[in-house]
Amino acid sequence: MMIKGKKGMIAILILAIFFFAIMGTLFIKLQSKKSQFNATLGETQLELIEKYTKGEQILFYIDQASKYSIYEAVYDLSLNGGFFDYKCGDYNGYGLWQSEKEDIEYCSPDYRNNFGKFISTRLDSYLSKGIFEINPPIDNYDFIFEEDEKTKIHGIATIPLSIPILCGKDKTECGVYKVKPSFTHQIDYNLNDYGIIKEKLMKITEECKKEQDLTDNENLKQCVYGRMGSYKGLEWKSIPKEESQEEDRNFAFEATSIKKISFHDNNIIYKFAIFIPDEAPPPKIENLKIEEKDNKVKLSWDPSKALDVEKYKIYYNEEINIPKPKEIFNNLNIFIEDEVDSSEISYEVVIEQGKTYYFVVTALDEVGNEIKEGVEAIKYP
Amino acid sequence: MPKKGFFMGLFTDIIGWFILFLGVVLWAIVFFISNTTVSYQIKEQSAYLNNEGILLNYLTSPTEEGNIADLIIQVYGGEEPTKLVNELDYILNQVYGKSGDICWKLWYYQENNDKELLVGTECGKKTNFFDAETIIPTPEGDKIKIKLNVPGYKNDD
Repeated sequence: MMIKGKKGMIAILILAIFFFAIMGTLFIKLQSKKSQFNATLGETQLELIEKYTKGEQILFYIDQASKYSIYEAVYDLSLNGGFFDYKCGDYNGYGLWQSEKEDIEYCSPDYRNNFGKFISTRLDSYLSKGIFEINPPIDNYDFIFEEDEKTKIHGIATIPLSIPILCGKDKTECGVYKVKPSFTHQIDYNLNDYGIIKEKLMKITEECKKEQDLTDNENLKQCVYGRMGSYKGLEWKSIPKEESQEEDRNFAFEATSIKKISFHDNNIIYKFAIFIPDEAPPPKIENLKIEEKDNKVKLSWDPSKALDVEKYKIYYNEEINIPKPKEIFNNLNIFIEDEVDSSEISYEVVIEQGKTYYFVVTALDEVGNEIKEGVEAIKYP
Repeated sequence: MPKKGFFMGLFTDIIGWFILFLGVVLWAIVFFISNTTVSYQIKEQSAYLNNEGILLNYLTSPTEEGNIADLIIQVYGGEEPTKLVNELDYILNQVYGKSGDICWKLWYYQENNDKELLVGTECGKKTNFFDAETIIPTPEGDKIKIKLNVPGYKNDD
């Protein structure tokens, strides 16, 4: 049976137009989808596998680099005396664990934290060069140390490593493979040596702070140098000083450990310095002479043997009834005090005839140390 | 035209069926032509990718002090290669040496990308069991590209 009516023909025509319109729309839609996935079948999956493999290679690289960074950081830290930045300055390039102004509790380094900083610096030098055209994030680690006979170091990455996943023939980024490149390593070394160094330095300070170098005797140097040698697994050596006519209470040391770290032929050497506080008063004034001139007396004495004398102090009585000369420093109220610069080695006093005077001369160093024991007054006349 | 006649006309009209058939054939041709560029290439690439991962496993294999990568670095730094040869020879023979002693070659790339043999064993029959490259760091802060190749067996027999 044929459709002969006009309406029937129109209906068929409309249906045909709808059919073509639907198929045409479908074609265009599919073509636009196809352009999005215009790639070899499975290419995106292969890209994912490739990026995963690349990620594994980068993780391996970072793992190895972090291991070598730790090895190097042990030496970096020891050669820098436990410091990353010197807290109290340095002495001839050796970090000071105690300075003239600050004590060892303040100046001694935060070596655990600094160890992490050195590891991070070394690791960043590896990572900043890029790996497989990927630039891993730098300054990216928090460190946790587990210390025993050996030290376990955990490096916790804060920002993940991002590897772009490229899709299509034009290789546009269609995703990112992310992984946190954390690591753990164990080394046959611990940071206890820094505690031993602090202990030894405190001991040297305590035992040598009352010593000083004189023009004819290097008591301080002998005190410090005499305490070198082996101490709790470290071999101590003092760095020789240059000849000087000024007192130098800074001392540089090298303490060598018996340990070596992998990939190194040398033992671990700790380099550091310390200022020995000055609690040593200049010695007694020698050869004090009194010479009378009209109504004056002139005191003169030999220069002090101490290298750090800043001035001389002169005491003499103004009352008749004075205590025993040895107790002068307990009765300073009855003595007149005066002082002269260290370049002067004489002093004149106007005296009253018929009155007995007692004179005491002492030397003061730069920090005000003054000898107060064993000082005797000279009687005049 | 009554509704019944309209629907009956759809199922019995020869011209209508013919137009539908032509339309389907036409669009089938269009879709077919537009999809002929799709190709299937998975097999070769996946084999290549696996090798990189396997090489990492070899490099991370533990040794007395560290791993194989550390031994490679030591030999690269000028140390005697016996330990590396023994360790790597043992591992690779475990994997590929079921039918005889395998030979292998470890290369490193110089700055100008020239390949230099670091260490290896003599080869006879070649079948190419394994070939992969990666980059490893050195303690001095540099990096080197290495290539491990297992070309075949030590002897022809």
